[in-house]
Amino acid sequence: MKAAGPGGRRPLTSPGPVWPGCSQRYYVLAAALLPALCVTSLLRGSNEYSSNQDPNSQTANPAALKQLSLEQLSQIDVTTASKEPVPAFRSPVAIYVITGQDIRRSGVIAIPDALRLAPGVEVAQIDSSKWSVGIRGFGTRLSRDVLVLIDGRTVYTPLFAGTYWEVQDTLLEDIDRIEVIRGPGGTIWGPNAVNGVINIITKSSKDTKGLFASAGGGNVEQGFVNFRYGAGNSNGLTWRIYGKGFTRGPEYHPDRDNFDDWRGGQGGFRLDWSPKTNETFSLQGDLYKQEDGERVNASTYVPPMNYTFNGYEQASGGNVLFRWTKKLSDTNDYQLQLYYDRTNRSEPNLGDRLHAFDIDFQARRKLAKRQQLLYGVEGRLSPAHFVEVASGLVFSPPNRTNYLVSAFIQDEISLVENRLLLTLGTKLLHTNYTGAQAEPSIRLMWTPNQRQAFWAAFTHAVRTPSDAEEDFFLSSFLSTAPNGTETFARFNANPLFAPEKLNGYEIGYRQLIAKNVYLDVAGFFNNYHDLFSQDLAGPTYFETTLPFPINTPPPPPHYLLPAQFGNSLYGRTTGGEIAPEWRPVPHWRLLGSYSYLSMNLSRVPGIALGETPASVVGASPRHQATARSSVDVSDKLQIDLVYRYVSALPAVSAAAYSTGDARIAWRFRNGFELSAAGRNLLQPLHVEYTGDPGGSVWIRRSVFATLAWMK
Amino acid sequence: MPRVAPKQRLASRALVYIELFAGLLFAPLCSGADVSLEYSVKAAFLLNFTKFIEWPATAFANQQAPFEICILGKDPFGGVIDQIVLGEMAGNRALIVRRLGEASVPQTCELLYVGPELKDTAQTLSELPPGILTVGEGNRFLRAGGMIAFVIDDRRVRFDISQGAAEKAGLKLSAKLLTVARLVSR
Repeated sequence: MKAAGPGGRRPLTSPGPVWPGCSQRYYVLAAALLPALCVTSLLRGSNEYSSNQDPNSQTANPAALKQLSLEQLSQIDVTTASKEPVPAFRSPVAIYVITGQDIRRSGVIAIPDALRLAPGVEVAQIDSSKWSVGIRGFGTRLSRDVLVLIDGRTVYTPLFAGTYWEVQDTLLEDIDRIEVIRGPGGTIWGPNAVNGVINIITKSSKDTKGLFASAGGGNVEQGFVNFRYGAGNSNGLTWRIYGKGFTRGPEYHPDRDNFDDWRGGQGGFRLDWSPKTNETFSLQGDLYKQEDGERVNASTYVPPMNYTFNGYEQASGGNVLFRWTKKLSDTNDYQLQLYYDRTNRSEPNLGDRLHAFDIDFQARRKLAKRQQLLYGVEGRLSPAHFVEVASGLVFSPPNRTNYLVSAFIQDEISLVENRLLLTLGTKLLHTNYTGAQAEPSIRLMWTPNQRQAFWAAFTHAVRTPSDAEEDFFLSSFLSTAPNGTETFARFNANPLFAPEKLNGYEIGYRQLIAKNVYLDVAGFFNNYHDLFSQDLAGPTYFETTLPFPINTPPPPPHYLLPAQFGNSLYGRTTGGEIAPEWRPVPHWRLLGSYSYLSMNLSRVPGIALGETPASVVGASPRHQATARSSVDVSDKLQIDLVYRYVSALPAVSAAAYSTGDARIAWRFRNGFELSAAGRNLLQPLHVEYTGDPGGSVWIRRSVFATLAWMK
Repeated sequence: MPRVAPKQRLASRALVYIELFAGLLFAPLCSGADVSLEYSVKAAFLLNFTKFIEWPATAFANQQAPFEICILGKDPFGGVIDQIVLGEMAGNRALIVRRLGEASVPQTCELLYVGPELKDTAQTLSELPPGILTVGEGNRFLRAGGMIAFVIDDRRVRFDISQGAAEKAGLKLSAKLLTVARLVSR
């Protein structure tokens, strides 16, 4: 289900040529013509830039091509696609591609907001710098069940299981696309791809030559600057450097305690070298530093016990990634990727330093006439160091090294040529917290004719335990007994925490209804076991010494209500997404989506202390709908409108809301573009998710202007 | 984040996305025996050339004469070029495709595509009457006296123009065409 490509976790779709600056109009055109474009075979292009063509090698739809302009024809990559293996595109999977142009045109500043463009994804802003993101349910601040990758680098943290969205950034201008896969992707993408995969892919430096600079600001986005410069030589070497900085104001706080201002900077580089047409070396890296205000809870065994306070989270980090891809033939290639990633987080209530060393190898090979094999191995080592700030939040031991080893194999079998494709595969993985785990999948795709496709899949996926479940002690002061002895409750580390498991059943249907109307429908039934829970572990007892060391003097003896992180929740989710796209005229796209989600969770006998079925279910919207209009009024003027509806999230005190975004951009002759964008325009304030202690943060209407220049 | 696009990068990545997406969706549908993307794109270019070049009236036998795209040598386009010209006009003239094989070039051709494997290209070109746009493959084609040569540059199909040769044949190349060309030589 994934393609060989520039990502270590290979992207599903191919990097294309540079996105057209002026218009996206052909997106829809092409969408409309999709089924007729036999691009799979297009992807099988010959190895050489020769005019000797293999008559069976590539195909494209003439009707689509002839509507392209001279410039557009000049930009079609007629061979890169050949580096993308056919099997990837034949795999049935619920995927939505947010293009770089989509991101820029929607006036998005942060990556989580861009994810709102995809069906089946729930994005709720908690405060200025924090979002809850989920796919097909289970939205949380760290998106525990979603695997996020940037150019093949996993940004999923083993500390708290999930993704710190606020530090996942790059120059949005350099994002080629974001592939959003709804549904389990464990077989190829690795553990924690339970509910979905978000694959952020930046452009090759080949496609970012020249100078780009932009600056702007508004009421919430108080100011931002972006810069990039790229160049290359005639020996196949290209590179770019970029930098960005921003400062963002706080959202609205009814108590006027505006704690959540946010500012940061990031810079990086990318270098791509193709000494031969079938071989590419890439080296890229990023460095960032930021601070965001947050309100946190902390607890200690001595006064002040439980307290809520404001402070700044200082986050910094960097990464460097090397990738080597070599194509031996159209059906035989391999890729080696190495990266190092470092994150430092110093939050008001705890801190940590993480390193990750990762090596990944993947290869593709044709087995028999109708069988294409994809396989790979990966190893990751993540030393972590915990910094104690409050004795109620302690990782023990403070220094740990997590590891992951995994291997996968997948075979794509063409049962009936061009009609029926069967995909079988499994991943085997082992981490320091789990025994061997398998993530098998079986997928079938039936394409009765050129305008219709049906697919179905069964997948098993796991979310591996993290430090937060197995090494974390979280305490809370409850009360003081009449004799003066204090009572605490504590989630004790649970070394027996089991992986969360999913058996996912999916179906999908796609149809080209008319020349310019396209429909994508997907449905799912997910059966979960051993979901994360917070359980009471026994009766209160008298504790004289803590079972783990702390940096402060030991607390006096106290009563303890023991609790632990467990696997007591289970249940089912059902739902589906429908995403139509219509292009009434060539310069106008209309896109819609409706996502339905029904969650039915239960827990095994026992007493919950915290997370309950209702608190999980009530944090994801049952209904979501979007409508988008994207129009090029002329070559100079672009207008984009987005309407969004999200139903209520009772567990996080968020009422149903509708809001809208808009962007208008005017392009001048000399490479300048002036744009004005507004987000959350339909009301001055609204609540999307109450996730901070102390009550809801209201998300403000945001308006900003940007001046950009490209040369 | 908004961006300013360089004017020369107007082509559609979106198309490619969607094509790829389409590949994902519909790949198994495709019956492989067809023409490469490279040649499909080239065929689309040929159609475009008819729109951005002005032929002298003397290039046509009469007002009603169709615009003929002639392919000399082995035909690399297969049926694609026929689908490309389907329903298209060159000005107010019907567009037709004529495969010449190794035969000599008739007067009625307005656009002559010269296949890469043709021998004696230079001599063939030198014997052509005016009013015929010649399109071929690679830089060698321009040196042999051709007017537009397809080249693969950075994995894209681009074209170089010999403006002098075209003008000598009485053809007027639009500024747009000259802008999009990779190289223009006099």
